[in-house]
Amino acid sequence: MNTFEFIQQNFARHLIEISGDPVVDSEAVLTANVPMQGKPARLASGWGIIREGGATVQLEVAGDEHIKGGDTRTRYEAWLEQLENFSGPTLFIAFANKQISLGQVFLTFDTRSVRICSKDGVETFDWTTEPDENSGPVFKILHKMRGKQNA
Amino acid sequence: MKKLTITATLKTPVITLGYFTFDGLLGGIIFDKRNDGDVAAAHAAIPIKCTDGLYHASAARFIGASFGRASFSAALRATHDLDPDQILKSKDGTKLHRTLGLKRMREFGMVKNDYKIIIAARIEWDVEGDDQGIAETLGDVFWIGKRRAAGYGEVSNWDMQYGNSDGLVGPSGEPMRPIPATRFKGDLTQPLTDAAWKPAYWAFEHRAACFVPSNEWRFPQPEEQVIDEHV
Repeated sequence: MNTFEFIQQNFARHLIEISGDPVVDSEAVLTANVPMQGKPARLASGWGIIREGGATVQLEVAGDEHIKGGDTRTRYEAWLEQLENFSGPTLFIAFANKQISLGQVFLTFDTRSVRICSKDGVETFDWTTEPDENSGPVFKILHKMRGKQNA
Repeated sequence: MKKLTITATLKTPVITLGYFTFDGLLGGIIFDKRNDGDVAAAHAAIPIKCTDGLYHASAARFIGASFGRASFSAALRATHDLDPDQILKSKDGTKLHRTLGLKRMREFGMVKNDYKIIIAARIEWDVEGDDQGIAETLGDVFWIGKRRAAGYGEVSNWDMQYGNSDGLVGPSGEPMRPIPATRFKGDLTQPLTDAAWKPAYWAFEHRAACFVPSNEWRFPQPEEQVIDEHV
């Protein structure tokens, strides 16, 4: 299963009517209107974590039982917990007003090569090491939070 | 088909995205030369051994690389009207919901693109392919990568040596290019990464869980010269 089949099967089909084309369905669910508590809207803020079997998002989406919407954790709290309990392919994504390009959407298969996807690009880091001065901002923040959690 | 090591000696820094595999480079060159818009035909003409879509060609190894950044801004100023059919109309369908006046068009300003540049003495690839075909394809190519018109990626010399690598897996079992997990025959303890594994590398359908070359492999530093002060 490639990246976009994964998004189609574990996120799109639980939220929207799928077309059958994984790329089209991934683009639709990540950049177009989806059912919300209230009227449909785009995923234009907050964060998402998509795993085998379903997804968790911060916005109050109205999907089936495989989608948990309205998670009140911050993106860093959610991603930290997921990384500390990593168990297979996961999409870590930050939503923003500017639509994300599918070219910036990558799955994480291994904590040694974590991909955090956002409109600004993809931050890649090795969660089993410590950040250095060249590390990206998400890695530095998550590492700091992990330090506090373990203190 | 012969096992080869191809070296490009660089005159200027180069801008590339991704793993810059040799099949990707040749595919792009052939596509440009054919100039017929047929991507599949260009890829079919790549003179490199291909097994079920997987080319026997390594990612680029930038020898002694250091890095920098370059930014380009392009003036994207609208000078024509938008197609009225593309603009929302009033409820009765007679008036455009919104129009762009000339004053507002002028506000459409510069678009900035940022790139990471790679400063390296040379780039090396290992490949299994047709030496004649590769030489012919590279014959008149002296600019590679992105932003060539701005002076990036100038090649002063191409060199081809007979080698002993198939461009897929290195001597320690390390991946030399993105290889789908199900087809990788090397060291399976390496981390899996989401990557495109065959051309066109921009095509989303070509992404898969792959074993990919490490940064240490892609950007090797030349061994420091030891100076014996007692001589």
